[in-house]
Amino acid sequence: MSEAHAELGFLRKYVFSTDHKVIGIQYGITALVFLFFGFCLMMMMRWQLAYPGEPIPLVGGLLGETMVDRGAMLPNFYNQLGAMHGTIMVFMGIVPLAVGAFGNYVVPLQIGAPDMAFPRLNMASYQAFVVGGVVMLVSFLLPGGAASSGWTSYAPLAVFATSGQTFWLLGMLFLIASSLLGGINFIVTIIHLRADGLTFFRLPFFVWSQLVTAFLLVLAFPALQAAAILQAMDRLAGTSFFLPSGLVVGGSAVAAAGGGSPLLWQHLFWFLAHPEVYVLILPGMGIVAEVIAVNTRKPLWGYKPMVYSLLFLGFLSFGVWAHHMYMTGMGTTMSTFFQITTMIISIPSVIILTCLVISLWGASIRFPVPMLFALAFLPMFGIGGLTGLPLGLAAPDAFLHDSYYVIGHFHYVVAPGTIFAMFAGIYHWWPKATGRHMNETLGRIHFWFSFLFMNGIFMPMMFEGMAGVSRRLFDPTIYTHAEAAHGLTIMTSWSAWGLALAQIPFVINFFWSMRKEERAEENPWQATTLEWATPTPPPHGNFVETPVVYRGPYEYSVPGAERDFSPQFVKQGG
Amino acid sequence: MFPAPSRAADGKPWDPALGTATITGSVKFDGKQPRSRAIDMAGADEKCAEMHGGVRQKPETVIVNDNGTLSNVFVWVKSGAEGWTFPMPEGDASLEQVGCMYTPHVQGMRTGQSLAIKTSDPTAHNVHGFGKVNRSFNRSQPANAADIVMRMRRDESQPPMKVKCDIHPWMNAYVAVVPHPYYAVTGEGGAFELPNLPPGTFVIEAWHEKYGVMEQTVTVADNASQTIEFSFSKKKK
Amino acid sequence: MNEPQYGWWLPPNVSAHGDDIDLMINLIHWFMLALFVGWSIFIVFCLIRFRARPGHAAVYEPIEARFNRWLEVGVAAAEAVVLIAFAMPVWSKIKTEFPATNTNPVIVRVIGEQFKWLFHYPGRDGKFGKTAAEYYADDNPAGLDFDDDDGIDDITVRGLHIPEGRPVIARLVTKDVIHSFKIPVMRITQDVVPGMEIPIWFEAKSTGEFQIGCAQLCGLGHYEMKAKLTIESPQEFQRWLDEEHSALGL
Repeated sequence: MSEAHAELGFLRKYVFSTDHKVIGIQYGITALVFLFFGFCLMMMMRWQLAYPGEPIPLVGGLLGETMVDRGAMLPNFYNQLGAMHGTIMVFMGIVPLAVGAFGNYVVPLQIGAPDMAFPRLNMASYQAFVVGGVVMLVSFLLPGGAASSGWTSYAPLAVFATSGQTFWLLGMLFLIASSLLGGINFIVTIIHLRADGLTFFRLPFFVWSQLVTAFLLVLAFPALQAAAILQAMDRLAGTSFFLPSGLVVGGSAVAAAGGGSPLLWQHLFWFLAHPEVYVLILPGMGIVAEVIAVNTRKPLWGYKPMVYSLLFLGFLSFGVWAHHMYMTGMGTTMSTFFQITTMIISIPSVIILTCLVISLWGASIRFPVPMLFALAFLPMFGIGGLTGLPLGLAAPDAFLHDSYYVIGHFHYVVAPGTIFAMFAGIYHWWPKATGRHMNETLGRIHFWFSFLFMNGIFMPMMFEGMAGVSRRLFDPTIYTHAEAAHGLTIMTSWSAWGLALAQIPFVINFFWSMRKEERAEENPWQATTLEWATPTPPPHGNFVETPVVYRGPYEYSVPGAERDFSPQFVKQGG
Repeated sequence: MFPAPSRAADGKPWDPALGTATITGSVKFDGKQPRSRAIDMAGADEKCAEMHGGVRQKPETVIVNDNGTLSNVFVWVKSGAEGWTFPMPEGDASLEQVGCMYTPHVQGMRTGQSLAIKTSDPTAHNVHGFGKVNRSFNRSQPANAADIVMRMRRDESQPPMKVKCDIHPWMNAYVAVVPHPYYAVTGEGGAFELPNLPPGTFVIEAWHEKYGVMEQTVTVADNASQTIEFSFSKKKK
Repeated sequence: MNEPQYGWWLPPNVSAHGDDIDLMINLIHWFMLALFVGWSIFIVFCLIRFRARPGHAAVYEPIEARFNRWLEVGVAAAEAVVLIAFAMPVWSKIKTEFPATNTNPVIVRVIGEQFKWLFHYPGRDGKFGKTAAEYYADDNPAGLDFDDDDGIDDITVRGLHIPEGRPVIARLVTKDVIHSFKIPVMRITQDVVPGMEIPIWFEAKSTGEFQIGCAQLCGLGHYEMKAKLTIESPQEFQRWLDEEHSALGL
């Protein structure tokens, strides 16, 4: 229900806004900009990998002498690009987009609330995100460059690294604070602000996925927040949380008290970072579920098993972290425990994926652009999930650990997985948020080329990993076995540059839709969930009348109904 | 807290007519050449080993000459040459990477001079300077790369700056940065000479990377020459 | 020696336990392929059969739950079999069942440092000289205490030589940061963690020259942190040990 507000000035309305929709769009635009930046970093890395020692075209002449030698990349810069690409994509790109943008925009609408439970906290969490992001980006300008110890920042390497690492730790403090504030907001909002009649098992699957994600954020991130502070103290205050005694670096003994453990950092880091990967995928699954339900014109198959799987997955995600640490000298007992939990956690993922796939049976499938992305998500996430199997078992992991196979595995889940889900969400909710339509043809071109190039990038990596090529190598051709696989590297690099070009139709589409006169209706996809009950675009306060919910979220093609969809918020006669 | 500023700019311009005295000497070593292991480059980087025809090089940390003297000792005037601004030498000091070894192993250069780090090796190096006064640096130098030129703006000879190659751990060198021209490095004969000194009293310091520092005070008159001797022995620094 | 043939799938295997690992990797990939092809066929079938067209409506509740439960149990059972029958025994064999002394293993210390490996053999007396971090110096990268007589004949080299057909026990340590000792053709990877000495064992079953790499980011020179692995016949290995012994001036 809209309240009577005094008309706000430009700054209060669009910059310092507490409206979840404005904040959602702010998160979305900022995250997309960071994603693009992180992508650019990787495109430079890809040049060095495909053509080691060659001057980088276009930008080689612009970079400083600590970054390139007469245009050709230097190892120091390569390591910075690698560490920052991962950090930016995960913490400044995907999480803010999936949770901050889509969660903030859609969740209050889908539960029939006028805004989030804590609007000012919401604004604070966006601002903390921006500060953290700026700190991260600015670190490139330091004399020692940005952080260069991997996004995993393993001690002791990260403790000895240049000041860019301190900026990384400081940036993480802000980024984590942002997620913690946001997570609390989502939990309270979803539990307390649901409209009348909206019981938990009438919630759209997207809202469930955001609820579980929020719990993961709130419970897991504090471990990394604490660890970041401890590492900062090791770097700045002379402590030795992660430094054992007797270290000698570059021929000189390290002036530290010693007695610490590098494995402690790994445990704390992965205790967050494993649930973090579920944070990266769950909102995407939620979006895909919504788009599939709408475009199959029938309820999702196995909604309840899917919800229980989500909850089970969230719970289990805290018990698998050491599968990232199989190679650290782990004995049989510990590794057996984590292998078992890792095998078990694959089951709820398989259930969710299978339910989505079976939802196609008996459907009437429409193929607008969001559905193309949502459908592609299914096999792509399938490949990502399946390739986790040899990695989750310690013995094959002995060969595949820290190889390109791992890079292929997690990118399949996050790139043609989550990012495709993000595109599906953008195309799906665009008419509601902006009141415009996106061009179908441009959308299809965007989809098909993206799909082609995504596979062109990551499938060769699986083979490269099998060939024994390790990751994070400035020049893999130093190793003979990697030289033999160099053709795969070149394939990957050209596909990456192709993927960049494939995004051009998407950008054009953005501007194209803004110029069109024709406005979108309130419910252009003929969907059943509550966000389609608002005016287009939704005003401050969202709903003209407080909605009441009469049925489940996916009542499509109900036998005996007039239309092939029965919205949650329409009181039809039975 | 802040590093001492260079003394190179202090004082009155040097008048060469005043430089009439000389201090010479040698650095002896009490003992035999200590045990060390030859460097195995082949297992690490075959290109390095090929440049030596497969013959293993000895580390240059301690070199005791046949006449019982010690090479690679840095000898310099620690005090007594203040108050003058000396002309800078032409060109840069140079540190070369040849056959995956640094040349020279120990050298002195002038505060404000630049150090040109060159490579003629067919393999990549990574020059890591551990400056305690001057800024540390860590720069990659692929095969056939351009010289890396680092300007040393501050005095750093207590101790001299250590330079290591990050890729080939046996490679190391020392560079002392001094505000006046009165320094030398002992060679095969273990001898040093500090000419063109003004008459007066000086503290001469000898530094060795493993055996530490020793000092002597010497007074030298106009147009005269004094000879001194240092003697290091095998003990922990 | 023949040049090893490398390509786009598993490199040649010269390790005694490598066959078990390769079997598991290939088995799992067949399983993955079966699942993926099954899913994909089903999806494509649905996309064609159930596409929206005039006269075709969706069915509100078309499938019974039985089908899905059967699939889930099947997947879980297959994973359990792979875990219990294959993965755990192989892991146990590699990580905890070390060769007994009567197999005459070669014992070598592997020291990781930024950015090269160092291999330390005990020499003819079979005993390692005392080493400590305080002895590390530019002319003593292995950190040997030169006053300890056991260390006089120790061999410290930058390339790893091992004999074919004899187990090797390697004790991994590092001076500075985390590295990872990886030999693709031996199918072994082991992180080297500061503050820990981690033993691993392996046995080569054919000769050749190969490469050892570092598989955990350790700084600027990580990409260059390679060493040569020479697997030779027992006679050649002994000859190499003798050469190193005389190179020490003994």
